[in-house]
Amino acid sequence: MIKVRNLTKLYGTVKAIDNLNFDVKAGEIVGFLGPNGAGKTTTMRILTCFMPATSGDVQVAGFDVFENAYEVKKQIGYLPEVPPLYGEMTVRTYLTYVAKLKQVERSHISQAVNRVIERCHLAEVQNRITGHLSKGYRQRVGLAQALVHDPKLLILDEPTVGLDPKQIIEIRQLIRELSGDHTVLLSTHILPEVAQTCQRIIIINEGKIVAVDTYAELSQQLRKTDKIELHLQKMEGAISKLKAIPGVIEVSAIPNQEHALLVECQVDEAIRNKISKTVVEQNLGLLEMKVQTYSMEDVFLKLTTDEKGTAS
Amino acid sequence: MKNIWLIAWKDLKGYFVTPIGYLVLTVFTVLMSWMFFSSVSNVLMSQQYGRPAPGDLSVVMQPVLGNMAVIFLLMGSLLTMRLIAEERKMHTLELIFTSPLRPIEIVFGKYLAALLFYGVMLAITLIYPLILKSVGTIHLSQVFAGYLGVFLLGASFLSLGLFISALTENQITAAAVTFGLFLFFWIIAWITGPSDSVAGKLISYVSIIDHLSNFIRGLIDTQDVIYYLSFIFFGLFLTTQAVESQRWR
Ligand SMILES: Nc1ncnc2c1ncn2[C@@H]1O[C@H](COP(=O)(O)OP(=O)(O)OP(=O)(O)O)[C@@H](O)[C@H]1O
Ligand SMILES: [Mg+2]
Repeated sequence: MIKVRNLTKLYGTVKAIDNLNFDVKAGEIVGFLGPNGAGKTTTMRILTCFMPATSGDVQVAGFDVFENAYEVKKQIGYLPEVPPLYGEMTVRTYLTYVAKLKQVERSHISQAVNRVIERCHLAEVQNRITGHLSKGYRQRVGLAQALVHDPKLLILDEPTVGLDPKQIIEIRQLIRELSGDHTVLLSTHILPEVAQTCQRIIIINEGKIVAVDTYAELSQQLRKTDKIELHLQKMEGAISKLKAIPGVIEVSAIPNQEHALLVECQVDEAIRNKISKTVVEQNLGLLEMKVQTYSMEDVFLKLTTDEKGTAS
Repeated sequence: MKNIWLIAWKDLKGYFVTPIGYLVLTVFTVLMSWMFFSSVSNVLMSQQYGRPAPGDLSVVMQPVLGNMAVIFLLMGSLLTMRLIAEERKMHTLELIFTSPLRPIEIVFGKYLAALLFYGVMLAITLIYPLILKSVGTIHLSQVFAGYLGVFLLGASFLSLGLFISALTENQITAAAVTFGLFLFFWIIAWITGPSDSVAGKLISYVSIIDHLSNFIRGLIDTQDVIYYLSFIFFGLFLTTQAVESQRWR
């Protein structure tokens, strides 16, 4: 559904996102997780054709966002960071207007508006002016406008910001219900949020993708293993010798780098010590040995790991 | 076309969300009526001093139309200041630019809203030539030419104002800059030197007001029409470029 290749965006000289590559399959719910300033909003604005990229390719539903923006826009429902409301309109008029903008057929408009009003629990405020709504309600109206034309792809920039805990649960439930016929890409900086709603997570930090996986996989990897990079002069027999060390889980050559190995082992200093000893004893010509700073860890530290503050 | 209407209709209603729309209509109508009656009384006065009554009452309309242009110069920026600046400020630009509309449809829609509002302002004043017609002879074709000129001049202002509104998110800035530019295009003719010099001709060509005088005298000159139309075209072109390029940065 979404295919992103080498996507880079510069604001003047500031690199907001740097060489992103990822895919989102049809029907998936994918979480875009990253701390403030990671480049989530920037990426989403490019995907929705609001802003062109500096370089790279993006395809949405098979259409290029740059060359075929019109087709792409028809597929997407987008909730921007700030819900784009016309303060002078009532909720119902506003949603009707958005439906027209999104080219919903005239005869289907009132039905479509009723559907999202019900889905986003807006019935009791439907005749209020959007400018007078509370933050949580504005957010829900924002979500409703993204859904009104029943788009194949939903791009939601921090959909639960400003909602109270009960509403957060409702919205997450709603998003889960959408999976299957809809593809959802949502951004957040709250770890439990993606854990609960998303099938897959893309972690982004300072404009770069740090990891792409399921939450279960990521949290497991995070805790269980150390990754050690070895640069050796001699490679013969190195892999088998290293694998023989108890506690070493996997040894593999690093792609595109000569004489480099990646050793994955249990988190234990004794094992690291063993590895360096083995390398020296076997006379493999150690050039460099370093524990890969697993940048995902850094990112996780920066993320909000509990839900305090989400309702504020 | 449907999309242009969609945008235009929303923005036209938008004029009446704040008091701006009512205010502009009221002030304009009051001022214009005062201008009309003073023009009528001028003619009546000169008859008392023994001048013959004008055979064609369209001379009564000439100063009225000239003043109409001046008053619109003073108020026109109020019609365009909000159009794009406000959408940017309220983040709704993100909504319309991620909807399946072409940027040019958005720009045309907004322009059409301003133009229709201006059209209504002018239409109200059509009552004056109708009053004149009921009391004497008036060559309506002359009056029509005058109105066409005033309409084109206002339309040019509005395209310039829309462009400025695309450059900022602050309505007040938009209004102030637009007003300054209107004034500039107006008074640029005041510095003309000898009118046969190249520079003098050029300045007179650029000046937005010099093109109005023929219309008010009842003459429709293609050169003047082309001037205004290219002004409008250029304004809308720049607006489209501005909304496009801002997203590009
Ligand atoms: N219009 C802009 N002009 C210049 N720099 C910008 C602009 N918008 C964003 N940036 C910069 O680009 C980087 C990425 O910003 P972005 O808004 O995409 O982050 P984000 O992941 O959405 O963060 P948050 O969680 O705070 O919403 C930041 O360093 C930000 O300062
Ligand atoms: Mg953001």
